Amino acid sequence: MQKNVRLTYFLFLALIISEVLHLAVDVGLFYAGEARAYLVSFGILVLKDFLACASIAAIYLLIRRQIESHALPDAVAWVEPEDAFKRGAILIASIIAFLAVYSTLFNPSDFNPDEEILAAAPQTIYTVFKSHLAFLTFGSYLLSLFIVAERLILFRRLKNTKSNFILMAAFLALGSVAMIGSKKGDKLNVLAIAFLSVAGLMMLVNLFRLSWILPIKRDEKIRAIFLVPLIIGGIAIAFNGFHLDEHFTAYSFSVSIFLEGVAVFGLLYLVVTLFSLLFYLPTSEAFERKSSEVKNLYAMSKFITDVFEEEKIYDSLVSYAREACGGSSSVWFDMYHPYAEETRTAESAIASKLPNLQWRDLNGEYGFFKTVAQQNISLETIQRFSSKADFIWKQVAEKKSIVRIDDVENDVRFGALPSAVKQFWRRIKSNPASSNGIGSIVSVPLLARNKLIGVLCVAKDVEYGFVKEDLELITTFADQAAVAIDNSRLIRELIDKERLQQELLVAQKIQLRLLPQSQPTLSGFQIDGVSYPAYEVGGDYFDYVQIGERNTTVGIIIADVSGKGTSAAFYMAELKGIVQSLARIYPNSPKEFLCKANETIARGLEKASFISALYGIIDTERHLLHLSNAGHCPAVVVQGDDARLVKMKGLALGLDKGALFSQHASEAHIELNVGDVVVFYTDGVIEAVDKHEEQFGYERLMDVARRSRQKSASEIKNDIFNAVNFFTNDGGAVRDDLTIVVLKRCPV
Amino acid sequence: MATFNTSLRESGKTSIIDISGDLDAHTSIQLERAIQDLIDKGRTNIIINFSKLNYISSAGLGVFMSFIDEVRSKGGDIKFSNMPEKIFQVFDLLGFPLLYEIYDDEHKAIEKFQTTAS
Repeated sequence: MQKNVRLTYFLFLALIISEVLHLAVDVGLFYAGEARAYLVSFGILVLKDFLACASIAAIYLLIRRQIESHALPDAVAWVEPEDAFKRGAILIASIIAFLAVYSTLFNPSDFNPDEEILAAAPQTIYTVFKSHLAFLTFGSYLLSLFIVAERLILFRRLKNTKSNFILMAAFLALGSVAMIGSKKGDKLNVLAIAFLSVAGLMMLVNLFRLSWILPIKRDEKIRAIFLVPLIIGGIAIAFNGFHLDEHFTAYSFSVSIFLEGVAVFGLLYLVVTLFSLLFYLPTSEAFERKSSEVKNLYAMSKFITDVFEEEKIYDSLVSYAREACGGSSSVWFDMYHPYAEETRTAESAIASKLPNLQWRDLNGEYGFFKTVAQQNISLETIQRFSSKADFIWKQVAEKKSIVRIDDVENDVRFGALPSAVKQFWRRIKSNPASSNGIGSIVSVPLLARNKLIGVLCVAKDVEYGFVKEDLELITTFADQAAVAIDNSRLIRELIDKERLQQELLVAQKIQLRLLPQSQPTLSGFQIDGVSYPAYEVGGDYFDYVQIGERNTTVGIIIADVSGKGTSAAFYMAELKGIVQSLARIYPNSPKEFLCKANETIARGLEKASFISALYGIIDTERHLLHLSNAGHCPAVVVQGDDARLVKMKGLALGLDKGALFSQHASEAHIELNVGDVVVFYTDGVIEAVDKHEEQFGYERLMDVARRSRQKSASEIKNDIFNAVNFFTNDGGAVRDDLTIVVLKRCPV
Repeated sequence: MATFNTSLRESGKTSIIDISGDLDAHTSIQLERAIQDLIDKGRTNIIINFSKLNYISSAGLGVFMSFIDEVRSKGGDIKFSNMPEKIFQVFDLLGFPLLYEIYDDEHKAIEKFQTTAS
């Protein structure tokens, strides 16, 4: 930055020094009476040219830096063409005004005509000043024009564009240099002619670089068409009206060649620009439309990333579609809700109460549409229209196809056609209120993976308002939005699933904590149990409760909560609380325990849920097992070589509030000898199937228990589990949670 | 695994739902809908024919529990018929025979509805 500023100051200083020196020389020459150009010596002319070159170089660099520093960050052309034309016109006008004022104030300030004695000599000292001022103002102006033209020519440059321009400038400069030391009236030398001819050729090459015209807006073009002739006229007036060519020549012959070259090029370029502007004007609307389509499409493609806010996508879709079809069009988006399979009628009934409902399928086959975003049209208007034109929504829902109505007033689909005369009269009258201001409408379905998401409706107040391109564009928008909405829904689904998974994990943890963490130690008895849930969270539960102070009475419960998942886990927690508290209150009677548990549980369970349970109390002193069953699988008892099921009547917990349950509950008392085995289990064991859909069943279970009876309780438990696994291994399945608890009396 | 299906037959004021396949937590929704439809139409004399049912889970049993109070309060009933032995065992184990009328034959159930009505 510091360096830049210093450079600017340096250039400015250089300009002032060379300008002052040059002025001093000129003033000196004037008073020396040598201003008659043909008398001035070669050395002084070279000095003058040298100083002029320094000035022009400094001015060029200063202006270039100035324009560049004011350019917008990403503007290739540095200037906005229209803005540049405006400034150019104002500037040339002020320069002309300044020169005019100067000429009137300090008259005469020109050169004597050629035919007089003092031919081409300055009339007064003011002439000298005027030459310098003209150079500083108009010369600068031409240089700015040159720079702006350069930037415009380089806009959307091709490979050779830049070198072509540099060549032109270089040959122009060489042509000027070749004439250093010349004075007014000298003929151009051969070298200069050669250089300038090449420069002229290069000008022709550069003249037709006008790519910048295409992208500028139509109204900007119109303004430019008025501004460009102003500038052309201004330059012509300045040159001819104030004899600036003579002043430039007096200032420095070689520099004047360069500036005149620049002026010629600038004028030609402006003329070509003017014609191009005129030529491109009619097509510019089409171009603008195309470019805005591209812009809209680009913006649309970006909202695919708006995955977390589906509503935002609706709004963007509607506003883009409206932009694309013209601001006067009305656009709305109706979301489609297919009826869920189980609750068709209910949903249809609920939908009929929605304020923004557009259509519902009364047969309960498809679903309903409701408006979720609209622009330039009120919900009431949409509703009034949709009540007449419900076939649109119906067709979209049934066929998922585009519906297009070119003339709403006279379309057969709206019912009987009015007579031709009436039609004609209507058209002339053109009473839009009768059709809610909708003359033509296009409804495009949004489809994602062949599922209907909704319908985008674009309406215009005129008939035949849509051309093929409009339709294509709307369809493209709809497709883009469909993908975006679908993505958004998929992601939401994923998040929900994740949340559910998390919930299940919590339930699983709770459930694992509910199961006993260790086996109780009882004198003369072994107990071991295990539970394998079929899914993350199961419905099986078993537990041991120590009853009484001494370790002589222990309750064993095994239960199966109907239903799975989180709710089952919570019922289980409830059950555990009940078991732990009631077991101590009813230390002797498992039946009473279950009756009380049923009363408590029936109140809290939902209607469709129940719990089957088997409860036993072990009396280690009398070697007795008291059992009571609430709709659970009967315990297997192995005594000696014989295995049997302890079948008992009983209702599952939660099926009945009380009376029926206690009426049918029963108790069994089993005396256990050394070596006797009791197996508690859930229906997962019995209902496990092999590949032929045959159940594991009671016989196999009793068989395994009998054969393993010599082993320890945990070994028996493992044997049963392995047997079930082996049974289901080859293409079968364990359909339910699997829980096994084994009790064995062993020698003390 | 066999899929689950329900089909509806009418016999006078009695509606018979034939169920087949596996009735578990997933498929029970279908049965729920079928029964709910009947209740909505005011047809509360319902017989479930189990002859082609292969398997029933506890969630399947829950379906009957969730409707029985409503049906009975409207003067109707849900009766079961033609249960295969395997299915009956499940019902029996949980004590359902105490809560529901179970018949070997559908016609007996229909007769029962007719006699209660008259």
